[in-house]
Amino acid sequence: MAGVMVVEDDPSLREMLREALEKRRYTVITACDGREALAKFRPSVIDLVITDLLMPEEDGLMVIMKIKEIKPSTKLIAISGGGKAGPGSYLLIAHKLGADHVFSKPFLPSELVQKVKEILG
Amino acid sequence: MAKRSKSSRTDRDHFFAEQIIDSSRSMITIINRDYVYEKVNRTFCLNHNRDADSVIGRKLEEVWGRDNFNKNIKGNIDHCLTGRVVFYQAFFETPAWGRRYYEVVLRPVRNDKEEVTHVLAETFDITEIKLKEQAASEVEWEFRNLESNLPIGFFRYDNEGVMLHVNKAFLRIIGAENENEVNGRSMREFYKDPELFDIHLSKLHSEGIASFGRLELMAYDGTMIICRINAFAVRDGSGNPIYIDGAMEDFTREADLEKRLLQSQKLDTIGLLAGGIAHDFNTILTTIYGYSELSLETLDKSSEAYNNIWRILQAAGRARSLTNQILAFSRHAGQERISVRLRDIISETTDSLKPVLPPGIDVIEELVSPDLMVSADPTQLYRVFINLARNAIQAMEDKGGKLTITLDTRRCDKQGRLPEGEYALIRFSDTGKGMDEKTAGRIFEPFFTAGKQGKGTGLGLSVVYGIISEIDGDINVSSKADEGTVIDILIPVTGALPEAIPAKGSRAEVMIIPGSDSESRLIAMALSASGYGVSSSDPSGDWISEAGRADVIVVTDNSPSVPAADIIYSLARHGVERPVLMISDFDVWLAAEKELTSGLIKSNLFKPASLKEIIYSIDGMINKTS
Repeated sequence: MAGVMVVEDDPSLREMLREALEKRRYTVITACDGREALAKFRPSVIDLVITDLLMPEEDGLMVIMKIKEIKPSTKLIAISGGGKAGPGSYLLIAHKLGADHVFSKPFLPSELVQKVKEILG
Repeated sequence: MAKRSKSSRTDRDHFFAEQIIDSSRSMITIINRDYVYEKVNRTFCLNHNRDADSVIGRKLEEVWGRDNFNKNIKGNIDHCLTGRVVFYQAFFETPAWGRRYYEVVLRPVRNDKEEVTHVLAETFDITEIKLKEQAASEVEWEFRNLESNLPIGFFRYDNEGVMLHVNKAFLRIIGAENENEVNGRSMREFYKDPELFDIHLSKLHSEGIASFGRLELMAYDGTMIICRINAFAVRDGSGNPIYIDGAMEDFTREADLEKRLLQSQKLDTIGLLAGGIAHDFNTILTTIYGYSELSLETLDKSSEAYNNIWRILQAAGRARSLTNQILAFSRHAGQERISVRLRDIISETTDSLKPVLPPGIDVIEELVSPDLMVSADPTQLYRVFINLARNAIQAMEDKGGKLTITLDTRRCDKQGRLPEGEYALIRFSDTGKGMDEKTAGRIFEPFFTAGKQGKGTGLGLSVVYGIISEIDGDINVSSKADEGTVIDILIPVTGALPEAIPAKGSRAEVMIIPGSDSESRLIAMALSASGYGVSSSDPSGDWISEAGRADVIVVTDNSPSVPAADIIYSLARHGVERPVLMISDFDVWLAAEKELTSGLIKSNLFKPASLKEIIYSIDGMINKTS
């Protein structure tokens, strides 16, 4: 089954996303910030990265750029917490940097899982 | 012997008299009835640089010139010759000394028979005094001129506060026609808080000088003005105060601007704070959503736990719409702006209000400048107008009344908060219950609600403020309790844009279902202005085949009779495999989610969706399919 990495600094949200994805039988690896994400990223295992955009160490935009460098075929979903605030522009940048989809928090796990399924085909 | 002795005493007297006359600082002359000098003293000779012989025996008109004599001298001498003492002032101009001023005293000299035979003329040179006097009066004139033309109000009042004198500027500031209206009244009457005047007066009496900033005074027409006063006590020789002199400056306008600037800074700060909190809140809400939904999947629909968690989800949905509103207020949204005809938004607003108007309430449009264009997101402007109109209607619910929506132009000068230029003025004027000044000053703050506690979040007007600020506009409220409220929105006028505007969106064909409500019409208008081909239809008749030709279908939950889920269901049943953007309330989405995630819906937005989000979603969907 496909491997998904979840990069999110909020621990409870991170765990929720892990549970939601594991339930759909995805292999899930989590990271609490951009630095950990890049350290844990294994191109052979990870097909899709779901990343928050505002994080303390190495923000999500950096994660998107670096992962696109390491393995351009990696699918990417950006999530951010501002609804229409910061992310209005942040999510747009993420999109331009190559994110396949962007989500404004809050969203339902079913929406996310549906999108993951779509993107991974 | 006796005679000689008498004669020698007369000689001595005569000598002494001569001495006195010659040493006098006045010019002394004796003139006879033929206007001939018979005697002149030494001061006269020195002053006129003549010796006595060249003057004595000569007529005055020879000495002073005929014109001068006839004009200035003769009449006075004639008057004196009738027996009166005559005082007059005169000046003479000579090439040698220039203009000299004299004060002249003419006294009649009588013989034994009491007949006036001569005139004794005593003349003082008062040129120095006169010049000083003139200089002083020039200074005084300049001072008076300054006093009446300076924009600073000058006043003087006595120890009781009774006005003795004010200048023109004082009258102008206080709104009085002339000094008579003010003099005799007490300065105390102009103070908004008369007791403060007593404190000020005693401070001036004890300290001599004092400044009072931000003083609230009442003008003649009852409006409040903000003044700064500098005053001092004027004292008599023994140090007792006799009156108070002071200068007063009107800075009502500056104080008002300052207040509004502070208000807008305060709102910005709250916005920043609230925006940050909303951001974190959305992260927490995602977890709540997530676990709730994950739990629902494992539970039996008829169980109590299922129902409880369902309610948690609904509550989280309300929290979501709250954070959304906070973010809209905090002005980070970034609106998509297109050229908008304000008249269209106003008529959509009144159209959508009319069917739901309570009895006794009218909504009237007053389009003074009907063709004004501004650069804005029409869906957001509609939100603003609807919000303000609903507030107005709510304020008139008890007694009924009239809401007038006026569209006009307004020029702003440099001094205001907005940059100089031409603005569209949209005025919402109601005859409702109004509010006091304190409430009016706070209504744009988030979480502030003028309505009943527990009714609404108090976010509506702060969102209005956020939207208007973001399109470089301004919003003002003025209200009087029991009389009504006027809310003015100013937005910079753009003038009509050329027909072929650069398309912001792609050239895709978009179909909007349903299409006949105000919101859908606005979305259609906005998308069409952004370069899309737009059609719309209500879910009846031949809509399915039309929908099949669109690149993207936008479905909203705006139809009162056909639920959004039914529209999606019909599309799916008829095999219309076009990507759908669903714009709905969160509750609608939540309730129908299982049906809706069937695959047709490629994107969804919760209300209120901005034009930017709509364009972004549509373009995202088109890029996916192409």
